[in-house]
Amino acid sequence: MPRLPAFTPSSHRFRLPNGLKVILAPEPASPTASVWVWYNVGSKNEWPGVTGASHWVEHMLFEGSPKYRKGAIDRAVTEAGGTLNAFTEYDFTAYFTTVPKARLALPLDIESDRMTRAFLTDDEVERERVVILSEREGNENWPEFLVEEELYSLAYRHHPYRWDPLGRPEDIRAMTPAMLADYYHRFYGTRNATLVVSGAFDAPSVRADVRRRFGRLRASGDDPTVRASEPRQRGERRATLHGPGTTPIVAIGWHAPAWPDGAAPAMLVLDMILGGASRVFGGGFGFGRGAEHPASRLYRRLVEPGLAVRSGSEYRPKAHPGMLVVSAQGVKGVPASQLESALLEEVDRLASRGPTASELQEARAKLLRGASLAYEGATAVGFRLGFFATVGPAGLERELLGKMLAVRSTAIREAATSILRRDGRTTVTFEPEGGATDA
Amino acid sequence: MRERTDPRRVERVVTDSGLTLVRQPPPPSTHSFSATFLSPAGWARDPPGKEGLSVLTSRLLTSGTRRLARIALAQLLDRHGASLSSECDVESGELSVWGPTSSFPVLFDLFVEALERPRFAVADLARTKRQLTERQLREKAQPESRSGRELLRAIYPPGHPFRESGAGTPSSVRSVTPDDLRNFHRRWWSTRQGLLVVTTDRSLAELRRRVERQFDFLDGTVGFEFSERWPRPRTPSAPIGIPLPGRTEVQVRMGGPSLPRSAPEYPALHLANEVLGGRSLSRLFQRVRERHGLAYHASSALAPMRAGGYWWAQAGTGPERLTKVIGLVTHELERMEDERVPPAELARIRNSLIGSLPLELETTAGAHDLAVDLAYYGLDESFYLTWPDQLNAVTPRDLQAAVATGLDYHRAAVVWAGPPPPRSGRR
Repeated sequence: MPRLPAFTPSSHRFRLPNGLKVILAPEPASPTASVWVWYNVGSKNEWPGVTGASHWVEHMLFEGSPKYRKGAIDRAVTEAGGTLNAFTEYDFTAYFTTVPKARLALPLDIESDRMTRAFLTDDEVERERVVILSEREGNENWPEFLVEEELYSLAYRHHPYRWDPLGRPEDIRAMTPAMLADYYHRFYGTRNATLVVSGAFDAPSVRADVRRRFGRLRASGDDPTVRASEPRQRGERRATLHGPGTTPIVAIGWHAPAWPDGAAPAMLVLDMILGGASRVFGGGFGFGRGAEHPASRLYRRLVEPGLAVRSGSEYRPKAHPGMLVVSAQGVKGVPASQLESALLEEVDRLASRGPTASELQEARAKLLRGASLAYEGATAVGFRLGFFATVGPAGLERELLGKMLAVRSTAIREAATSILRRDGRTTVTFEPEGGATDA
Repeated sequence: MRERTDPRRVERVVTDSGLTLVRQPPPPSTHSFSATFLSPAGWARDPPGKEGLSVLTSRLLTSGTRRLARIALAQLLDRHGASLSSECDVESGELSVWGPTSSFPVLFDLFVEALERPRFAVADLARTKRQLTERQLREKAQPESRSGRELLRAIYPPGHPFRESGAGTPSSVRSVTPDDLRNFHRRWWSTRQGLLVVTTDRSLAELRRRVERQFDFLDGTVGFEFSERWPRPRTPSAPIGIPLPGRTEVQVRMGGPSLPRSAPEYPALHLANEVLGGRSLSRLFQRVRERHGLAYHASSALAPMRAGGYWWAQAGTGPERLTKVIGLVTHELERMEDERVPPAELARIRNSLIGSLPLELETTAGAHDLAVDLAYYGLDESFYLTWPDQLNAVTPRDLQAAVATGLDYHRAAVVWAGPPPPRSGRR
């Protein structure tokens, strides 16, 4: 295995008696401090009728708690010169606040106040319902969102990954405030959370402060483990969407390994070779969506010769088997069928011949360099340490990077052959209609 | 000497060849560098009939050099975990590189090579044209893009470059040739009047030596100033509605002409925009989303430039709520004009702005953005050290005066794009 650089910041990890996991990652030279709370609760924990509840709770945690009444969190953080936000995924919900280093006590106070005691009053839940629907409507304006939502709903029949974290509009309209409050009180608690503090601070005093603020919260949070599993797909599934848009979009997905699966590192490298993104080891924070990767196979196969305006792949391992998705948006005049053929040809070529030695070498170099910059700034540190701690055991990132660097061509070929099969494939096509035929 | 390691204070020097070099120390605890070359190659320079040329040229600067074809360039960048990117707006073009500190020599050489000897291959031009054509379609069909485009068309008459998005038209983009790219590049990207901004731990002296040696290819003298007289912005009378059936959310925008960045009122205007719709404490966010629950987002923004500027407020909402949202946004604009902002509210917004500066300095990319702005607008080397004082000096009266010239809703256009609102029946 190649020698790994010391790319992760040093951190102190401990657990409070109430079950809260804590990670402190001090960086004395940072001008800021960042506080993240990761809940091991996401849309995977919902069920029909309450889809979108995790995302709705995410919004409600800004709407009042004993010490921070409605609007007070925004006001306090913004006045302190800080920034805050939150996001909800299939497997988790994460909240972060980054402040000038002298104001670290503020986000710690906020998170300890709202972790188990947020107010979900009927009036505020009702008001936020329209905001949530509006957020969904904004996403529905983009065909890419509709395609992804359709792909997951088609590929999954039993597992909760089949609905988007934004939830189904019918459920958002019908869910009562009591249902939402029940969901919150059931899952959002110390046992299901990881607190990450990164940036400039004195570790011993922050450790004591964390114990004082969070240690008094009673242990709470039902086990969020999802027992449902998706049966093996036994045949190709397809859907074609029609609607306003510019040019056709094709997305093809396969069920892919979960984090604990031994094939996950090979699939991550396969994703890099197909689509180009370093994913969990890219720069900044986030999952590297949207960037162009001209050296990737799909770009070279579809964008360079003029079939597509963009093309890529995405494999984000999840707690349960997720999806590897390859997709392309066509050049005006190129039919969806041609995009689909080109995508499949490229996937088949990788499955039958594997990556070249130089492709693997390039991917390793990119991974190593990317990892060295992935932890720049307190906010990015909080993101990565919290993400990895939520989806896996301590030290996962280091272990994962090592495994990814050690992936051989045969492992990629084996993973591709066994996973990217025709009978496990789900294809969604978007055909634009009406409107933009000419600018 | 402490300041030399503070990214809020930059060093600026004009090299022997006439190029202005700005060096910024990177934030402590970062391990990357960034460099940006700014040129006057914005789409205001597009020749008639060749609209889209400036955007194509800037994009193609990252598509290979005479030595390295596009893929080889991308692979080399990947190998260093680096990115080479370009941007183009109405006034300027930018080429930037970002990468690990340890790769500075090789990546800086590559950056200069991309700037000096772009490949402008026929196939790359064809690909970039296809992507730009799709953008043209999006600007027509996507509510967010369409409302933004139509707002500028409502404010600025034909002949004014701020009216355009830079994407051109199908025929103008089709007509661009590799020779057009080369000529545009020679004229607008190869100028000694360009600005080079580097965020690095290398000393200014070392950087200067390197720049004197490597940037000797610059031979043009065109600057960022405009000699043309542009038609005056107009005052639209009625709201413009663009029905886009089949969409779910309406995008509404209101906006009008504003002030250039160099205006003495700019600090007050900047604060006024923060009060109106800057972030989550702003009036638009608080009233439209938090109090009335009418939209997921409601905000306002300024586009201050060297030769002018404009402002806009925007919100995304359901068609049945459109009228109410427009009414609320208009009401908040009227309040900004009619009433002085209470001192307590002003203090909150001001403290937030001043306090947030350290957040920009968390990463090399964040600090570099500040230095690029400073260089482009010709601000003082220690501008970011004195910016808090400038904001502290703004009074509620100054703010109200700035609103009258820079956020004037009487001259604002109102545009919505998306599913049409339901017609109200008469009982």
